[in-house]
Amino acid sequence: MLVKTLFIALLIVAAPAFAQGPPGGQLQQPPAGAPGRGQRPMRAQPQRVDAPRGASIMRGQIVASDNGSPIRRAQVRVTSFDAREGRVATTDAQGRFEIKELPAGRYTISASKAGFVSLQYGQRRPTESGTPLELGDGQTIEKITIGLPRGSVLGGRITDEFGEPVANASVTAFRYSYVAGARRMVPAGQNARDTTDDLGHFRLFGLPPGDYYVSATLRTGGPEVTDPMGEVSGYAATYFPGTVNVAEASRVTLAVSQENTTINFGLVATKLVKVSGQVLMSDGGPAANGMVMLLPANAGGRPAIAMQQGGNGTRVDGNGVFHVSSVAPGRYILQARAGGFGGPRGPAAAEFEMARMDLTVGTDDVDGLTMVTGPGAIVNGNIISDTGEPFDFKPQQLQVAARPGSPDTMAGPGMAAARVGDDWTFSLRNLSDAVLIRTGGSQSWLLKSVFVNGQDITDVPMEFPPGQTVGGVQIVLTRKVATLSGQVSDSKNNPVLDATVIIFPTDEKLWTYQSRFIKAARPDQDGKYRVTGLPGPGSYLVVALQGLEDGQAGDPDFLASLKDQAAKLELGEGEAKAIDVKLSAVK
Amino acid sequence: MRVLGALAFVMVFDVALCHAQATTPGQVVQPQQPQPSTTGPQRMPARPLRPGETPPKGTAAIKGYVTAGGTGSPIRRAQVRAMSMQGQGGGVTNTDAEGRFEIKELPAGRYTITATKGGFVMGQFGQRRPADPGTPIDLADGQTAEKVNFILARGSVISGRIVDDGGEPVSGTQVAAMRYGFMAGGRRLMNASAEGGTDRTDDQGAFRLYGLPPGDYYISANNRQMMMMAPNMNSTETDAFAPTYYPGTPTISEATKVTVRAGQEAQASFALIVARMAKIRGRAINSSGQPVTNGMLMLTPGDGVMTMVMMSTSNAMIAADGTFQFANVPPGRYNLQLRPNGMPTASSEMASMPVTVGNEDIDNVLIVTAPGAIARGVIMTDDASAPAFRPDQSMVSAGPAEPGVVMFNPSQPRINDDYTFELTGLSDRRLIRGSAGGGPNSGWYLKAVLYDGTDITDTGMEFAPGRTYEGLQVIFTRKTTDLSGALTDDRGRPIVDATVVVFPADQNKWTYSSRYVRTARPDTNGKYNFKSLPPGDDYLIIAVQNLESGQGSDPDFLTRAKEEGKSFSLNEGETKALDIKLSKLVP
Repeated sequence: MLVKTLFIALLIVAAPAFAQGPPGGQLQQPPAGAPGRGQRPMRAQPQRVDAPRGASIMRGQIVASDNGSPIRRAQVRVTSFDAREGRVATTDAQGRFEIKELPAGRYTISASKAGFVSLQYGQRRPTESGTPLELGDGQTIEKITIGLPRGSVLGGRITDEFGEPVANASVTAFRYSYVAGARRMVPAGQNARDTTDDLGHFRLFGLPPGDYYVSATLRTGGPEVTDPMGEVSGYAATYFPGTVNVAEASRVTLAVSQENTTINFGLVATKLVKVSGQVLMSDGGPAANGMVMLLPANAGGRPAIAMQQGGNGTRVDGNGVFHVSSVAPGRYILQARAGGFGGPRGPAAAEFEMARMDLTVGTDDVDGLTMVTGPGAIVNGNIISDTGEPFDFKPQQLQVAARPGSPDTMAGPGMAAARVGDDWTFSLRNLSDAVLIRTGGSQSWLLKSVFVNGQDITDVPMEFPPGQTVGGVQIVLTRKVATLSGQVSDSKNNPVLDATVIIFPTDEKLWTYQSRFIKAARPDQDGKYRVTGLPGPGSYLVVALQGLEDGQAGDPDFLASLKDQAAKLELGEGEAKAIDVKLSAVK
Repeated sequence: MRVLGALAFVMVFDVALCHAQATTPGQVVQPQQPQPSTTGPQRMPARPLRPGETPPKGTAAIKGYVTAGGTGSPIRRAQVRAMSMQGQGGGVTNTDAEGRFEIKELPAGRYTITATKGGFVMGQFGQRRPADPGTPIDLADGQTAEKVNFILARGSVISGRIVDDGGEPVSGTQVAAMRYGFMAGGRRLMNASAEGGTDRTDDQGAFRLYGLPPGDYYISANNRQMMMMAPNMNSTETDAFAPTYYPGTPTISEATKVTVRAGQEAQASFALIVARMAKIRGRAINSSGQPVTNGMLMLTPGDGVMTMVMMSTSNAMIAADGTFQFANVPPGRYNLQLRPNGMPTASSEMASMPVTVGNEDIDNVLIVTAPGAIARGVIMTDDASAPAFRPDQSMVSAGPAEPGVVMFNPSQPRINDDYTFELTGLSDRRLIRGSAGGGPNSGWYLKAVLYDGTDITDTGMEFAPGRTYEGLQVIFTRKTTDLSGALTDDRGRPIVDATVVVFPADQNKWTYSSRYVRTARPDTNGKYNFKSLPPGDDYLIIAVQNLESGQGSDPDFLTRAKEEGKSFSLNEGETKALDIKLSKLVP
């Protein structure tokens, strides 16, 4: 006992200066994450409730950033970097919180309160991450202050074509974000939706500053009469200041904690039509089980709105026939998915077929569409280690999945993770479009390569022939995980906390979608950054800069502009290398 | 944010459920709102259209206009909906600039017509006062019903601000206007049925409830953080906002009602009460003593009936070792239920146990699952002939025998070629129901359900976990037993604005969802109609005005109605005509 106390005391003395909260953030929501971090882990294993309890403590305060007044009942969330540890606490009447019994580790801390912009500790800019905190054994970090700015507000009134208020209209604020590598409109977060009241009023609050687009829709929730009154039968999704065309939507810019309640516009009345047809499967028979989705597309024929905000969908009936009602004129992508439902093992175990077509809808009903689905591909293979040594974990812990190989790869059942069998084999099913094969579930073993017939397809998006079974795919895992770390400092050698370190390969051919070779990290409270898992050997470039936009590190043009500022480094396989980085002047 | 890693499992789960959902089988069954008057056979309401289905077409039509009460001015863009009471015919349209509407191509049948416009109380055609039930219209082939006119009353508004104990606004609080009504055989507090009857407070704590019919309301506010608890999330929160009623009490008996007249606006601002919340921690194991690996836990109110106003259920994930936790639970009585993920199979295990929460945390709860019971039986007809309907045109299901019980519902079983079936996943007391011939108008009616020779049609049956029950008989008949007649006042004039109630004198038959207790509204000629009542010799019939929705099943009302009702008996297969006079009984 005595020894332990001394040990703790020594550590506290030796610990670096406690984290002082920076005048806390100016801005916005935690980002989706730079490439390499932004990918969702395939499935986090639920952890035991009685996870090892440590002896470290975090304390701090949440305040309003405009006047410093404490925020009570703010929610503070502390998460370890590997997502194994998580704690939630609520601030008291003085805005203070304390989280005890934490094991040592690297943590991110975030705070939220309705009406305020949620921020991570150390987050300065809209779409950047915050500063991770390195917590030692038995260490106490105090004075973790996060200043939350009051959220900005978008409000206004929605009217019909007679100028009268429309009640129960659904209003959404969108912003552009890098989704799947391309700039798409996405709803601006959890406060991004509201429903108008009887006066037609809506109020979207708690918004981070930024550029917004506002849309309003009114759904009737029922079968439209087959012959509408006159030419007008309903309302299309309308964008402020009153257009159905996404490209003509007006941008509304909100500063920090700004209120703009002048977003008044009228729903555009239009003829809503029906889109009908039949889905056939590859054997020529009707698809008895399936769904059809209509997704709004932009001028380039690509999905205009991020997939999950989706469109109008419906199931097919027993003869594969579908009717999508209440469709406004415009461009769409029609996607059909058939088969697979109803099996006792659930959809993931069954076979799906898919089809996709572009569709332009005018003011007449669209009848008689036929969509013929095709089966995905099946890919079988096994997993080996690079040295031939046996794995030190159970195969059940590992998963294999196909990830989108390009921004337009549609999400689908092919993206479901597959388990690895006792004999280290796996089978991926329902693959369509170009995909990359990836693994997940082990912290110490990393994907090294993927081979098919001796060809290295690790970073080459593969479109496996539909309906075919491809065997003999080999996934090689390695335990040699490279670690890159170092100090980020400015020209005066002071540690820099507010920056993002980007590491990317010198070979431009590797600047691909969701590349394994591009990683980003934020320095901790001492200005130290740490990145693991870069493939080696390889030639890389390292640069630290401020103001990185969400997803920007995946943009090849952007990387090209950084080449001159970046420091070169050679990374060996599994090497642990230290590289200090100077903050670059360029954004 | 890394915490997304732990929650990604949750999101995948939700998506999987989405895909697994065909109709309602396999899902937890929520208690239904009582059906208002229905004269369809078997008490089955018109089946809502499945997505993708088009409504059947006919040659009848309705025409009318919608005006505002008081001013008499036309209401433009009011939504008018015709709903068939027997089949799936129907349609929805909007009124034009003069407030006129027309719905064509309706199949012949009986329809309820409603008109809605934000800010007005929803109108049902034929009602005398706002929020009264209306009068259905009978349409024959080729008939156009003209003058289907509505006068909508201005809705009342209740608005205010919700603050915390420090006077600060609390945003994101669910506020609802509730009134006493009849549900599941008793007088209970339930959500006002108005489009604007619920609202979420904004950043200023403001809410606005609109479109309310005049009456007495209780305002409830609920601000619970309904996070699904991942097992590794440790919450240090002990105090949280309890569900609170205006003017600021957690107990409904101490709440003050807010009375609004037609078109009136009232204020109701109040502060949320803070209460000590408890944690519930425990383990879930299956019948073999192993941790449950495939399941989700739900905490539902234990007092029987869900008021459906607050977020009444809480969910928790189960860790790999079977441990789970609920945080932030207000004191009260609950049912802890475990249901398996995905589609249920014959071997799925489930559990339900009562839990009472005081002010202290509860640790070491042990919940043990057991496989559902299996019931096997056969579908037959009452004349021992081979059924004239196909197996795929028939259906058997097992629903709750008591109101308000949230149950895990097994999927509807396949009916085999020899008309046998197997129901799996059964538990507790269930009522067995079924249909044959492909729809409510098929001409086949459920006559009786027998088990081991005992008629369990209305008493249901208790299912013990893991047991198999053989020999269920679900018997259908073509013999319809119908009752109809004319309702008049003392002077012989037809009465349209009343409710006719048929019920047995034997109180024991006044069970939940009893086939013997039925209500109906007369048509525009004052004629009422009940199809396929079970034969009985102790029936009573009574017609009253101003009966509240659901009150027809209230034992208090039925007891008083016994004195005034007219006796009659119904033999099997009889079509009885019975003219009745309006009773002076006040419900």
